Amino acid sequence: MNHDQLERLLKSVPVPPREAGYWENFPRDVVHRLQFPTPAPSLGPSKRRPRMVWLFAAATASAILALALILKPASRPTPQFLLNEAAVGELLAMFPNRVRAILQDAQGLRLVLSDEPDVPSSTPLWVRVCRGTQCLSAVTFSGQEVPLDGQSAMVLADARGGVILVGERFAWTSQAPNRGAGGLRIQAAPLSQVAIR
Amino acid sequence: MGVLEDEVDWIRRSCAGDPSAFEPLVARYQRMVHALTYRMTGSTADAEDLAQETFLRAYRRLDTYCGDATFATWLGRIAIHLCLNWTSRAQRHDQLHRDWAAQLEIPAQRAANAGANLPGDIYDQVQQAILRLPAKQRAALILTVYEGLNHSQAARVLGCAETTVSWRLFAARNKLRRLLKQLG
Repeated sequence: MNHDQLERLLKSVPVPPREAGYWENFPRDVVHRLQFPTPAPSLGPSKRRPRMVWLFAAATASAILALALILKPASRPTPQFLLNEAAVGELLAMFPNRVRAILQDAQGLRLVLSDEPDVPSSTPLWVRVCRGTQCLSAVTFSGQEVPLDGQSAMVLADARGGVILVGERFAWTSQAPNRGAGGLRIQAAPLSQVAIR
Repeated sequence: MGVLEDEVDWIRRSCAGDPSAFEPLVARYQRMVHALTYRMTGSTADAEDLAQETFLRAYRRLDTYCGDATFATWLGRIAIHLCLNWTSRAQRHDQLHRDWAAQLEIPAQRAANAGANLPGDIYDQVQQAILRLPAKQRAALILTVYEGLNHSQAARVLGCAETTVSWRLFAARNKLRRLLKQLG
């Protein structure tokens, strides 16, 4: 294949088309993000930014309503909220296939929602990560990313019912929980295994 | 040279803190940026994320755009560097997954560079071959073949010497010829 033949072949490959309306909406979406930037999560910023919702700030009405229906009035979630399988289940049911993660730390509870109902249904996974006295707990699903320790970490369910965390600077598995992860103390398991009954 | 007349007003108003003035700039260059990020990543979803991040970053750095290059070239530089960082991150994730799969005796996914024939139709095969190039070779190829930059312009985007771009293109074309010889 000579130079010209290769050039013609390369240039013949089109970029995949987008669905109707995509090009009209994209500029507006960019401007919207500029006008309404998403807040940074605690324990460091995340590089990939799904839509973050602060439940105890001016969040979406539906997220506030979800908490109001689940929690007693005038109460804050206990540290064990994410271990309450029934409460977590109710919250997930309010946003079917949209919840990427539920995060809880000293600042409170936050939902990470997908713009579209494209989060696959799977077994909820519970994760707790601490550096020193600063801890973040999360309920999420295999294949989702959560902000941890200044990086974005992917949470995966392995073939034996365990959990794997893969960050930019560490990797950890529940099969070897005491193996160091860059100074982080990590606990993770399917939520059903650790839920408070 | 460098910026079109109507863009001058959009850029000035955007720099003054009017995000809505940025919208026509996005509309004008969105397809170019999407094409570039798609060819670098091979993933529509990642391309969309990177395209959006390109424009967000461009808005925040508009005050650094001084018109010494076209606005498209300046945007392309931002997009390429975001894609190169993305590629580096994706490769680290892939390597970590392979390492953990080996340690946990979980069947690993078939390596992308196992040397097997490229699957799919001709367009898939060409795109997959492009994705097998080292990231910087891929970037040089995309900027010259698809964005129409000469070696000097591509070097400015990539922040390297013109001779480096020439060498990367030479290596990229040789590798593509080997990968695509069955299509020749």
